[in-house]
Amino acid sequence: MMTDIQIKAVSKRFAIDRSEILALDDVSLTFPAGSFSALIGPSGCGKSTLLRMIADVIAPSTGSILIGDHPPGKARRSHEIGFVFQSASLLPWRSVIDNVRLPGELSNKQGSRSPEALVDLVGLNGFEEAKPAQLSGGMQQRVAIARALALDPKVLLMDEPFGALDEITRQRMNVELLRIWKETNTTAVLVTHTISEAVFMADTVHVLSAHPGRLAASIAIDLPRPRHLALLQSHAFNALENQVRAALFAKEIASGR
Amino acid sequence: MTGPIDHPDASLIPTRGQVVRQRLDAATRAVVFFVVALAIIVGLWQAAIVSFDIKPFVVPTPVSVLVALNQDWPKLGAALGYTLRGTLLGLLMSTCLALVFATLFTLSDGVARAVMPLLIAIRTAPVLAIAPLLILIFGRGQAISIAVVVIVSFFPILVNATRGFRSTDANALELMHVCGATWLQTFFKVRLPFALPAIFTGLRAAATSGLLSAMLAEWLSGAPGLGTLILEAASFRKLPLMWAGVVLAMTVAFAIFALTVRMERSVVK
Amino acid sequence: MAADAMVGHIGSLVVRRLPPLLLLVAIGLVWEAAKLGGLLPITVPAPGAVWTALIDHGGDLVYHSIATLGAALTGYVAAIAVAAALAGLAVTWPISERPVFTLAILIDSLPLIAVAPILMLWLGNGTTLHVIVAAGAALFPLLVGMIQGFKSTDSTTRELFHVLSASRWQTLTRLMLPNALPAIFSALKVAAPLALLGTLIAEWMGTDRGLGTLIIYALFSFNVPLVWLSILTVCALTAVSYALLAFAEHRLVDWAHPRGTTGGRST
Repeated sequence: MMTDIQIKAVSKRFAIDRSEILALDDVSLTFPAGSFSALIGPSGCGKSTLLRMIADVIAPSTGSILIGDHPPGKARRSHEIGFVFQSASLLPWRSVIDNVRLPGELSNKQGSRSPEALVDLVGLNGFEEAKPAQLSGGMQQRVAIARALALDPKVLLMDEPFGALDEITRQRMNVELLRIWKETNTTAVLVTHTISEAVFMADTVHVLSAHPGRLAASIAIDLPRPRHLALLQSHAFNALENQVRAALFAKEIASGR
Repeated sequence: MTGPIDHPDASLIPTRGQVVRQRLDAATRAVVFFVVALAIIVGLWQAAIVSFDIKPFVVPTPVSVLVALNQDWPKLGAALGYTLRGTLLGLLMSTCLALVFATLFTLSDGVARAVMPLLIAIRTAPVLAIAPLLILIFGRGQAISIAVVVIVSFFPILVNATRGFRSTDANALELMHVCGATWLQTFFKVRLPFALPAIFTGLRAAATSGLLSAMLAEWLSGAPGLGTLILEAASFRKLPLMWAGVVLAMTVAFAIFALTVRMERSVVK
Repeated sequence: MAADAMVGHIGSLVVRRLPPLLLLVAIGLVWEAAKLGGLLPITVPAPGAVWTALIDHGGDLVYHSIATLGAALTGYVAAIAVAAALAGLAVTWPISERPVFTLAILIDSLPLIAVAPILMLWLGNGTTLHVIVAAGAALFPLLVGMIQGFKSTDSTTRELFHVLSASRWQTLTRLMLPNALPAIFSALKVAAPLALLGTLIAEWMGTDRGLGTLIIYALFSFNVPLVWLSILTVCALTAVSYALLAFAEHRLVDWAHPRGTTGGRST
């Protein structure tokens, strides 16, 4: 049973000192059940804010969000949400396996996959007892993904999960992530600021513009799956990349800058 | 590509006039706070004595302390001067010494790394506990209390200053190197500014313990300072005098503390 | 293989510990010789004389040390409890952080030697006074270390615990407390000698039992080896407390000082 995410007319205002900033302005979106969506936009477009509202970390000022039939708070409390941050945010005093066990310990629940199986799924077999400080950045992020999947979340939210990795590691991780996503049947939302990553991963790329954050375009990526790195060199891929780029820089292109 | 929110809002940056006004406001508030707090404490003090019928040997009245402060001022003033001289001279010397050593450590990373653990170990030892030993070896007099202040306050300043100098951003050092800066230029333009917060942290820690060390050393060596005065007054049961000494000592402690905080704020900004 | 490694380990331990020990012995010998040669003042005894004092006054030393250690330890534990309570207050109720901090700074900047006589007046010069002064001397670094430690959790990890629907208690015990341990241990290491020093200062004000009393007695009766012996004992006690805390830290917070930095298959 897969779950979709509906964003209905969501706006978010932040009060900074005495002035108010409109971070998101009337955004409506649907992430279909079992799909992989990417949110891309310049800094300040509110893409991370939107992701955090889906995860019930912050509340929208107006509008509503539904995860399946549940509001975000209920979805969070029933462990339907897996979240991967830009920094792996592992607990440094816990080993790899104990970090993956954390969600289970906090909720007294068990996912369908054991922590050992999850570590295996993200390709860290043999590193169960290693401490986070002994791992490379890419490996740490794999642990964070395993941890996010620990309680069989229905949606997997990722906030620039590979933003701190180098280009080569990132592309390898992208392929890995697609495999993991396919195996776990989650509805995935990826926030990124890399055009090629968005196009490579997603079924649909949603482009946001900044100040205030608005939905500028939604571009369907009709590339076949499973996707391989060879795809990056294809004309179809480049055409889609250009389409996203055109949506991102619409204002500049129009004014000839 | 960048919009206005990527830059700090210009209207949020205070102008020079606003800064001056803010500082004046803060100073006024501090003075008012101090006076009000003092008045409240003295008032509560007097009120408590009257309402709970507290005996003078437990807590004397503020009035009797003020009388003692006035009557015995020659004695108290002399003791205060003696202690202050020892404390300030000691702090000055240890600060200079510590800064010289910390600067030397910047010349060689290897030396700094070898010496740091030793310094931290000494820093955690109760240096003040060896004061009797110093008095035994070097005898009595003002020099000994200064020496104790220097020894006690030297290590916190040195450890913090060394840490501060070592915390210098490696990129900034490389930048200075690429620009062909001399060692002195690098020191004054990069290393010292980076180290200032840490140096002041050390100085603040040293200042409070400096006064305590001076008073203690004076008392152990029988020198005519504030520490000796308080403890002798206590043992002869001259309670108003003792309290007057305690009030003076606390005032000086707060003044020294406030002074270091002030200096820190005015330099680290 | 394992036996070889074991021998190698012990060997390297000996190699590492031997030079400082030899140095210490050498310093002792040179010192003794200097004293014999009449190069040292009367106030600096030969190591041998201190040793003799240890044999003569060993019983006294233990008798006084127990009193001092007892008061210092009680004060230390009390200070830890008070600091933990205040830090808990400051962290769970952020409005109180500034007042708590201001109060702690005020207490810390009071010279103990000015406060102790007042307390002595109220409490008499007994164990209670020694414990309170010890606690007062140790409180500030503990409080600062604990507040800093508890506040050092990064915002992303707190968001993680929120997304995982962790309770406040779970967040405290599984995130904030382990995360604060390195800072707490640094504070514990700084505070332990301060508690001992506080006890000494209180004892110096005049009491009939304690290392401070012994030091003052020896100083005023010009018993040079005994002054050195009692002060060396104080230093030894702080060194032992430091070593114990460092050992506990090594055991409990091994993650804060990782030795290997690259991943290898763990065995």
